[in-house]
Amino acid sequence: MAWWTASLAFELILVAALALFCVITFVQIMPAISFVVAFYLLARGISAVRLLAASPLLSPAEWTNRTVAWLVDGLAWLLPDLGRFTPTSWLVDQSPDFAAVGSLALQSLIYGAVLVCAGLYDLYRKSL
Amino acid sequence: MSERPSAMVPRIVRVLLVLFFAAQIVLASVRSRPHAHAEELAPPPALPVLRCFAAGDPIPFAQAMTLYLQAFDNQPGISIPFAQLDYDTVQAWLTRILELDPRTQYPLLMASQLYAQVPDEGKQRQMLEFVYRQFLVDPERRWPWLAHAAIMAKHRLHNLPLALRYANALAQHATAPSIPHWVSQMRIFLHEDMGEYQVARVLLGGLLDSKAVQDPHEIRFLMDRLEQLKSAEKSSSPSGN
Repeated sequence: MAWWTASLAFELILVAALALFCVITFVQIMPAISFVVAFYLLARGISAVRLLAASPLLSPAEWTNRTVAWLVDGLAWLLPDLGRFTPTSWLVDQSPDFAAVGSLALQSLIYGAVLVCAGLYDLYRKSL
Repeated sequence: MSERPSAMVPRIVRVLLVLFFAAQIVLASVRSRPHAHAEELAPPPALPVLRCFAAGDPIPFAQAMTLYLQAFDNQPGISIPFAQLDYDTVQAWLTRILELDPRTQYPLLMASQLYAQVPDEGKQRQMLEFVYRQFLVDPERRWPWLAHAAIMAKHRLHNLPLALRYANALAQHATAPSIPHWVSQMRIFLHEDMGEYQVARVLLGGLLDSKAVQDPHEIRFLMDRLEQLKSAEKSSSPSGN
């Protein structure tokens, strides 16, 4: 329960940092909300998208499919893998080990810092 | 709103941005790739729950369930053979879909032409029995799937008694005028295949006498078959008459 709560907190920190970055960067609120929602959904599903892109059903030997798989892998490097955060199984089945929670904390720290720095970058460029 | 040049951003912010971004890429590159693992098909929810989710319009919900079930063998990064699915659960899903939308034919098509094609006789028979039971619920609409099941039982399972059981059900229950005659004639030719010439002859004679068949070509064909049955019956009788 404690680890699950900690994981939820890490996830919320990331989403809050993302929302802060979008509020600073986008002039209007609707594009900011849309970006946050789209980013969250993509970051949540990026593992499944990677599996689909590398699926043996798509003839992985063809260069077009290999290119798509590389592009998706490249995109995954730019996103936090939110699919690993806050799984319900930690709540009802088994507790995670410390390494799993530690990797989530590290991910939150690094990606949160990226978003804060990006937000600061945009903030300094604004003529207030 | 005008923007100030990038030079106005403090150097420390730019450096930290590049450093943390590089750290993110390093972290992502050392992260293990996601592994595909097959998930088991969970039993369908109870019918009242499904009706509640359907919000008064069960047909699109039943269609969505059908799509989910049909696509379940293709999971991200992995493809599961139909034969590895738990057929009790598959049957429960098909039953639920038919309960939600009794007029749909697609679950029976899936049962007879997808799930019954696996190289596992037990699972084939399970699907054919499912089609048989569902046929009895609505014979006039569901007869094509039992006819297919009878053909499968004969040619794929090589189980003539099973095929005859299905053909008898078709002859007894699928009696609407819109249903073609060959459906009720299947059992005659199955009796012939089983060497029961006398039964086949009696049934075929009865069919011709009933005047149910009106097409002259079909009548001529059936008369020819009747003669063949008579001669086969004579040649197979112990006295040789």
